[in-house]
Amino acid sequence: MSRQPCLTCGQSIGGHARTGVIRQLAAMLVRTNHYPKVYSLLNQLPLCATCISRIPFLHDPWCMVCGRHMLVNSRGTQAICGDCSGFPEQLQITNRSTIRYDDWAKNLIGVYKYRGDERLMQLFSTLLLIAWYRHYDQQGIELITYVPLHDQRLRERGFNQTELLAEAVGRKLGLPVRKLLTRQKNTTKLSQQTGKQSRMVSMNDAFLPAHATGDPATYDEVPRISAAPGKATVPAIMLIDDIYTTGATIRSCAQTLRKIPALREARILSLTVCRS
Amino acid sequence: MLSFFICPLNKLFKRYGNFLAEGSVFFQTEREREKIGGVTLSGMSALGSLHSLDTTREYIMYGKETEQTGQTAQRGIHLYITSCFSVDQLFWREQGAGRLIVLGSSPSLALVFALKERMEMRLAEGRGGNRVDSRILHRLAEEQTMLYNKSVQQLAREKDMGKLPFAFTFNPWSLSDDIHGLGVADQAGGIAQTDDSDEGMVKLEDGHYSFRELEQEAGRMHELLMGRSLLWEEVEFLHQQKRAGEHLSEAAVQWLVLKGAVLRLPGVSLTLRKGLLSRKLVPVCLRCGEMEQIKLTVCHSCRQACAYCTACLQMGRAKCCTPLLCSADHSLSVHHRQPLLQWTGQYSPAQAEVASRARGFVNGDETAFLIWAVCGAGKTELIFPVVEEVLSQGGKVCIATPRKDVVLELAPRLTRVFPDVTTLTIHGSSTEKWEQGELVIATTHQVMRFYRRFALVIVDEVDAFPFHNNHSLYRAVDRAVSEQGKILYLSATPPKYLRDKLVRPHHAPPSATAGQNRLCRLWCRISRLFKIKQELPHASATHVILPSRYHGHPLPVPKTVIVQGWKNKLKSNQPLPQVIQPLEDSLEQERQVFFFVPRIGDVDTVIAYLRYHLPRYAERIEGVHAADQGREEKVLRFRQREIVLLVTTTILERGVTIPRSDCIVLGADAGIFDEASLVQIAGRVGRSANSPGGTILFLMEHRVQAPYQAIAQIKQMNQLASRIQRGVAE
Ligand SMILES: [Zn+2]
Ligand SMILES: [Zn+2]
Ligand SMILES: [Zn+2]
Ligand SMILES: [Zn+2]
Repeated sequence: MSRQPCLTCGQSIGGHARTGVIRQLAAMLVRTNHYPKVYSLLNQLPLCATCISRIPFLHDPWCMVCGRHMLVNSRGTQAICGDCSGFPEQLQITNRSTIRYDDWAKNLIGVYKYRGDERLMQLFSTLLLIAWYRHYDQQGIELITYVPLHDQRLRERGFNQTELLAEAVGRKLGLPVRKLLTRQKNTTKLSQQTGKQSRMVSMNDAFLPAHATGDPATYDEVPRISAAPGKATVPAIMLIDDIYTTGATIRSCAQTLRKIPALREARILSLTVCRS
Repeated sequence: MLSFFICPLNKLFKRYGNFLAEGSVFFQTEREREKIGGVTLSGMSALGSLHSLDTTREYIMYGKETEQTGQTAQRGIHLYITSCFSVDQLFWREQGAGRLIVLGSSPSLALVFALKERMEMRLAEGRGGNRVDSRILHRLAEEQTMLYNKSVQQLAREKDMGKLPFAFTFNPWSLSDDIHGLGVADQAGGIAQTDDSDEGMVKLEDGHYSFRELEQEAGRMHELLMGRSLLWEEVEFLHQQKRAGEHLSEAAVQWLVLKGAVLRLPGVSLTLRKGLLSRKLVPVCLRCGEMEQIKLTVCHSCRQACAYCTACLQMGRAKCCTPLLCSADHSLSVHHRQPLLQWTGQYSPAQAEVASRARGFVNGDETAFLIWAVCGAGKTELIFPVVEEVLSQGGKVCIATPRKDVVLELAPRLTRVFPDVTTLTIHGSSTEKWEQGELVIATTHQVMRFYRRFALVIVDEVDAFPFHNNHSLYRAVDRAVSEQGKILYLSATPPKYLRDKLVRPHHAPPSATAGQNRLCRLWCRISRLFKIKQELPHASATHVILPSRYHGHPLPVPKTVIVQGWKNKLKSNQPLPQVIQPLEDSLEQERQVFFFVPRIGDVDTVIAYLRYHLPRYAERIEGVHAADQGREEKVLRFRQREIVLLVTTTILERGVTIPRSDCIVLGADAGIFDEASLVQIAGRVGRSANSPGGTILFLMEHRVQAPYQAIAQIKQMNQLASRIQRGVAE
């Protein structure tokens, strides 16, 4: 157990109270087959018992498409939320998130985005892994990619927070992580946009396949992803981002990913830390 | 002459082109590439203008020949780093200096710095009479870059990062093109952009400048940077705050660097240490001095191997490619109205002596001084005279304290007694961070943002978090103080390091040398070993002790009680008379009780236990810990006597004082309670003049050192106080 203090409140981590909280939480989050994995992930969180119990985990029932929590109890059926049912099926991208985007998450994500704090990275990548065990471990994911930053923004900041997350998750799962996309437009900040509609419009053609632009970060060949003969499930690529708001970013990325020949047959799933 | 400028740019263009082909580095969009092309074609750019192209900022290293004419002509060479080469050309031309030899550039300031340092070392070794030409310099640079690349890969392997996709690049310029030394600008007409008029106009990325304009702009920038130590991002922010609408001119900053008014360092430096088998690369954060918590990364800003500091990350990302600008402040402020101190309070004789000794210190030869005043001695008032002394001499004063609430508490008191002085309150969320003032009250972290500014830095509660054992903050204080400045430590429980350094044995003469002092300390240690009675020296040239409270009564001495198996008894709700009895006694006398426990987890257990065993007071027993949302409110209710027994962790060990209160420490043998912490806890009791006594109990299972050391320290203080009273302390 790390001897560092709790990341959010500064108190010392540890004590038997924490074990109890984690046990209860792990049992609530996953079924028995993943219990040990999720238990040890929760235990790795750099948080104390009080702060762990404050994490706003998403609970079922959730929308089968975007993963948001739904108030209507339609357990068991393939429920789709109002927002998602507005899209034609080929535009729907399956997303899952770990936590709600409340003030606690907003604050931490903000700090992480601008400082790239290593310990916050560990916190968020652990949260992503928990969602992976909850939703995606049977999905045949073979490749991980992430939502890129615009080059200029990247240079100003020096790092891409989602890239760091993707790499941490990839390392833990033993899956390859590739930069597949390049951001074309320097889209204005989320907060500066008004309304859902304008945001969706501004996301059109925001991305390009990275190899087509000669982006040298894609130095490795994109592995071909296609169903093995005799196998039922089509393999998938997982797209990682920090927040899912309207899904416009994710849909735009997915559209671009479909244009990459080697990935034409792959299914696209997205995994984000927060669902607002 | 023009060819000189086009050549390096051609080179650059070629280089970027190569990168595209090799695909080893990210590259900009089509639009940006066009821009570079455009620049090359028109041949109108100064090297400095590369910045405005949204490309990575480049730091250029060049050598300057210092030429002495005469028979025994010896050419020396000095190396310089610049972000705007044309500014340097202008500068050296004005100085009439010799030739400039451009060696190359890199986006990693840390790398260029390290190369410069190592090359200077090499040059110094092989100086003699041999002539240093550009080829030798280029070879040296190449050699050293390779060394760095090897060691950074080594470090990456050690840190389990695998092979780094990017290593360091130092791009040599203009070597192969012309063996006669192309890339060498002679002094006659080095600047391609010089206007036809002989005004010495220079065109930079931010417009045309004449020599005079550049000087003026530099002067304005200097005013902004004076006394500060800031990362480039912070400079940008400060500039935006103070000079909104104006362009932040890198040329002006470079001008200041050349004139020596600003020191430009990489945020994180890279040094090579000689290891056992090979050289080891050691990144050090130059802002906070951290060496352990530095992360090696692949940076998208400089497209290099880069490192950033996680220790001071909360104040922005210090990394290899970010410059840290430090500028000393030598200005003196003038006060027209004297006296500055408007305080009507009265000192006790003991306080008066301490205050005057502290005042004397700033005019003496020593650079550091310790005021060791017991809890409840009235520390803040003690510093008024010394602050006034320094302020009236025109110097600036900084009071650094570890906690924000102390800053907020001190500020109004100081503003009241120094009404004519500009006082700034600086903490993480303060809006006065970027203002100028003569008296600054800051959290210890914010002290890192100052550079050679204060004639006096007072460090309050040196032992409290996070100053204790925190090397980087000592460093920050050392840097914030001006060259002849003084540091005054103020504490009730000074850490051993400071005691050893500043509490000089009284049998050493005041003018004792370091060697004599060491001898004295050795003698003290020997006498301690043989249990020869030790007397705490009341005062010396570097310290003074105030052993009594303002009301003059001795400090209450804690008692220890061994309680076997309290944890189990607590859990199974069995009676613990050693705990319950003294509590009942205190509560019956209508005294309030602080009940300290070692861990947060103990708080709730203890509350439940005490409520059960003290049913009469059950509703007036509460508990607090750091993560407790209702902490402030509960402390307030404790102050108002609504709560009579407050169970707490160490968070209340300082700050909160309640008249007529007692203290119980359960588990005083736990590691979290060290000597200083226990002395502070004992300091809660007997603060008011009408109830100077009280009970302090240390309950523990095992005999450990800390509680006994704390008791010994308190007794020592009482002895010293009575010695002073009898007039025999000197
Ligand atoms: Zn916490
Ligand atoms: Zn949905
Ligand atoms: Zn640092
Ligand atoms: Zn960098």
